[in-house]
Amino acid sequence: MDILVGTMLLASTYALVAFAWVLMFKTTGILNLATGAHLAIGAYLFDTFATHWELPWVLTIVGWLASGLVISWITQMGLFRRLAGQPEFVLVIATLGLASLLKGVLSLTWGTDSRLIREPFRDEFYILPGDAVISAFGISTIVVAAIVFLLSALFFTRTKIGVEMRATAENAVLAAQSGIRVDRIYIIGWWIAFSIASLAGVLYAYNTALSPNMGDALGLRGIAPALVGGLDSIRGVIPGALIVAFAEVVGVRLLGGQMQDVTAWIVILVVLLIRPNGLFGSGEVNRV
Amino acid sequence: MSALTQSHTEKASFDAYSIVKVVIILGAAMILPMLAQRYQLGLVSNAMILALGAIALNVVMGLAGLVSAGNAALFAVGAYGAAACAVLLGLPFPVTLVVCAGLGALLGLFVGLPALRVHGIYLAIATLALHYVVMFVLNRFQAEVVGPMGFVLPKASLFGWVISKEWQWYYVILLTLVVAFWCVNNIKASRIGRAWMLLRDSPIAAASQGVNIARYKLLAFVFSSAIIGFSGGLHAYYHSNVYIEAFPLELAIQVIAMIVIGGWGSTGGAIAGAFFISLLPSTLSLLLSLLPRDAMATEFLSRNVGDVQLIVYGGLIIGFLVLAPEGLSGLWERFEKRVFARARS
Repeated sequence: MDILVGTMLLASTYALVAFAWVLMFKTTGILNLATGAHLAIGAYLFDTFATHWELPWVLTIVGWLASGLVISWITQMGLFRRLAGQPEFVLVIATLGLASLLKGVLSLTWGTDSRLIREPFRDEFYILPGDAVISAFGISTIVVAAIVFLLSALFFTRTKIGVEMRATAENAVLAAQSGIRVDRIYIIGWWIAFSIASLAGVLYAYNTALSPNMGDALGLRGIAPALVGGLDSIRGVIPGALIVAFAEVVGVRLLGGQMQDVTAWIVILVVLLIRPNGLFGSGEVNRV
Repeated sequence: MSALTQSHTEKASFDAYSIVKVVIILGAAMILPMLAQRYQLGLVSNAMILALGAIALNVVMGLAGLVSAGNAALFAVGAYGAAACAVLLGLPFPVTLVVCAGLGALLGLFVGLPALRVHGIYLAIATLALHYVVMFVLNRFQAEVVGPMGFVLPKASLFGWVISKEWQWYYVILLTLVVAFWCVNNIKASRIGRAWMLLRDSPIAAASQGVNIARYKLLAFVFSSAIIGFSGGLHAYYHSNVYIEAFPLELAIQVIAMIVIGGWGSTGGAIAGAFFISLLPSTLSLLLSLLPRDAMATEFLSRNVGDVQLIVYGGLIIGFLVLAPEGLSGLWERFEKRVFARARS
């Protein structure tokens, strides 16, 4: 039973991170290796607004979303717009450079100590049948993740921008021809990915603690569920997250705490060996 | 007709020029130990070992157009392979280096084989996974066998000649770098090298020319992994110890920065980039010592060296990609052309 609870909890954070990876890959075609750094920076911004400045919660959330938008705007207009039309591997290396840069800025600005974010309500623990324990924050994490997925499903099917994003992902040139402002769509893509990744960071921080290590530990590893579900498949995200989270929880249980750092990476190597497109990935990524 | 002869003499003078260039560079490299102090020579030797890794990564990234983040892991595998061979098995130095290259190639095959069946981008993910898994395994290996201080290697000896002095190491490393440079440049000009560049520029064109894409990509990755494994072994012997903290993921990013700064696909550029990046910290601290002493700034920098380095490397990668995508080698070529044009007119 506690394996189940642990898996659910980890899977909901992983699902959010993997969603950010897949969303970036699908809309802009970029494998964003800076996702981990984005996750940590977003979580630290949230912490600055919530804990350090003690803003009201509404302002905290608005400020956090707004700063994400600014960061996305700078990344797209200052960097990736100028690299448009470059081969894929150049873009990947640019995100790697970005990751290194942001990581430096992150630990220069906020240091490397771990800290706790101001809590919106008191944490409590509930004992479930089968000796499993879940905290109030754990339950909220699962609920928030579910809400995000519902909202994004509505967003991509019901709103104009959502549909435009899908059109751009399908074919950027044709989308531009039919009057969609592709730059704006890309900025929104970066923004949503940034916000979702850093939301995962914030939720993770409430369940454990906020530390810069989170970028690598959660953000970078989030590529594992994305790959298991299929890099270009949004509906593969949840099953992918469940599988990786289950593997990690069981791995830690059987072989000890140090397995936490490698299980996801081992899963990646195994998936590449048996089913490189992931569970739901289209074969389209791998032509030629 | 006249245009033909003119271009002919131009080419001849260019050939003569490139021979002079090679002679000057090699000559300078040969007499450096007489001019430089021990510490500076050590910096250059270290840069040359990294340059080996940069040349190798350049084969994968610059020629074949694949992204690999596995440089630090492969480098570490070479270093630990050397430690295991020398300390546990007592193998001689040259044999150990061959084993290191073999280990690198084997691991490259193991990772590249599944990843390259699919898509170039998957190699980036697979090598990232490789990094974490390899570091985990090597960490356990070190903890089981020697403990946190790591391995200490015996002195290297080459056919009865013990390499212990800094200048001896310098010449050994210089020799391997020259040989690697020569090999890679020859392969680049061969059928294989041209196939790599074609599949980088247009996979579809390459496939229609009968180039087996997956096989050539794998060849590039395995070949480069062998060189990196070799350089890892060399690194282990040169520093005579091996410990896990020497191989963070940042090392792989550093090597990528070297390639980007040096210029895609240019072997000489990779070496220039390696020197640029690995001499950057000491040059910066030299420059800082020339500035008027500002205690605050100095203290701030010395406290945050690691972070500042991350920012500088990331910034250089991005800056060169956007502003000078052809890198140092491209800038240098443009400069040469301009000088030639002026000399003629």
